[in-house]
Parts: sequence; C-alpha cells; structure tokens
Amino acid sequence: MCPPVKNGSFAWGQGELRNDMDMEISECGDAVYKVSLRGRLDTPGVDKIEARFDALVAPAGRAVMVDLSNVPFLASMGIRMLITAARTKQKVGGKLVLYGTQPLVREVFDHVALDQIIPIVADEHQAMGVLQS
Amino acid sequence: MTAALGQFTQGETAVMSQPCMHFADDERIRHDVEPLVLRLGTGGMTLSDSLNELGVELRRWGVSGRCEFVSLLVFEELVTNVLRHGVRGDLPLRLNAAISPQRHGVRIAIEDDGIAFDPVSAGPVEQQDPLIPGGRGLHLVRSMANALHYERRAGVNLMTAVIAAT
Repeated sequence: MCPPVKNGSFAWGQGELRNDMDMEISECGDAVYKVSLRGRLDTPGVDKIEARFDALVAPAGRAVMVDLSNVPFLASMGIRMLITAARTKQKVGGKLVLYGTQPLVREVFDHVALDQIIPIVADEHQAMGVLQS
Repeated sequence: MTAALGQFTQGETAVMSQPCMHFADDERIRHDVEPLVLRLGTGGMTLSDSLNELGVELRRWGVSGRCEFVSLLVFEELVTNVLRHGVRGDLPLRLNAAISPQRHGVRIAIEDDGIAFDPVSAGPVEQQDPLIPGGRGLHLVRSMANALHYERRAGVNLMTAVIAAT
C-alpha cells in the first residue's frame, strides 16, 4: 500500500544503527508519508532520529502518519519529539497522526493525555481516515 | 553499597522507613543478587550504555515486562533530570545509581551532588500548557512509580523509587 521512499534523501537510518532506533519512510499516495519507527524511543533513540524526523515533518504538503507498532519503549523525550512534530505540522496547515501503539507505550500516552494533542488511532486504515477527513 | 557511593546507605535506610512497601511479592524475581551500580557522572558511562546495561539486568532478574518498562522509564527520567538541571556550571558532577531487585519489585536509588532539587514535590506538571512539548518526565515518574522518596543530605540529592513487580 505504501512503498518505501527510494529517494536517497529519505533513506535514513537503515542499517546505520546497532539496535536503538531506526526510521523508514513510505509514500502513501501523493499526500501522505508513513513514518515507521523501530526501536526504543528513549533519550538516545530520540537523539539519533530527531533531526531527520523533524526535517520530514516540517515542510507543508504531505500529512504524516507515524507507525509505532515496533516501538516497545518510550520516555518523555519521545513524547516531546512527537508533540513538537505535531505542532510543527499544525503550523503549516498539515496533520500528523499516531497509530499502532503497544500497550505499555499507550499507557504512557494515557498518563500525559497525549491524545488531547495528537490523534492516536489503532491502525493504518484508521490513520488514513483521520488524515483524509 | 560500596563506600564510593557516598550516602546511598543512609538514603536507602530512609526509604525503608516509608510505609509504602506493601507490594505483592513475586517469587520469579531473583532478589539474592548484588545491586547493579551505574556511575553516570563526569567521566562516567553514557545514558545509552547505562540503559542497555540496566535492561539486560532487569531481564536477568526475571522481572515482569511492565516492571522492566517502568523501571527503565523511571531511571531514565530521573537521570536525565539531573543531567539537564543539576549540573553546576563547569563543576564535575557525581551521579551514581544503584538498582536492586527485591521480592516485591525493583528499587532504584540515585545520588548526585548537583543542584538541590526535589522531584517528588516539584510543581504539578499537570497544570502546564498541554501544548508545551517538554516537562512530562517527572509527571510520568510520579504517576508510574509505586513509591518515591527524596532527601537532601550534606549537599547530596538522594532519590529512591520503587517499582512494583506487577
């Protein structure tokens, strides 16, 4: 459904990290990027991807859906990165949505009421629905 | 604890006096092992390495997935809080952590000689602007740890958190 972006400028992180954090970008039509995060979104993990994540999110145009199904751990730095990205997207008139959260990550989101700031849905289908609404 | 870890012993004694340790025991947890001691201050190990080492130990101790998750979260938030806000200019920082398995969960004890700060009674994060990206770490610690204790003694912050086994 969403083929990986083959443009070298978006081929970030793959294979360059030992274990902590990686991200893969796919194109879902002309209007949406799917960002699949993989690994621990703790402080070291955020340090490794934040600049690239922000650069992807910042431009106007495509909406972004973030697949968290392969993120088993998340700390406050990860929350900060996601909120910053959502606000950046909002400022340029775009949308960002999260989906696929694992139960313990979802528990963290619930503790900080993140769903009041960023839409969080169950799966990719629902995420597309939010972005197209 | 070793003498090199300064006042940990006193800090832990203080925590043991807290009437907050009534958690269910978990016989799967290995509680007969030495604490994991991590030295993260000036010249010490990185946060990344310490998280990796702690993760390995938590699994070796046999804690539940949730206990492992919350222990890593609380450890990271407390340590990063010291590293971001506790450093006095160019002065070296002593920042040590001792994590120990117990029948009822995991105890995380952290000592640092940085700027005095009580994460337990710091202002309510809940009242901050929800659109401000940062500032949620201490809220997570206070809402997810099962017991917290802080004291400042002889210029050292002593922080202890307990994470229940289940």
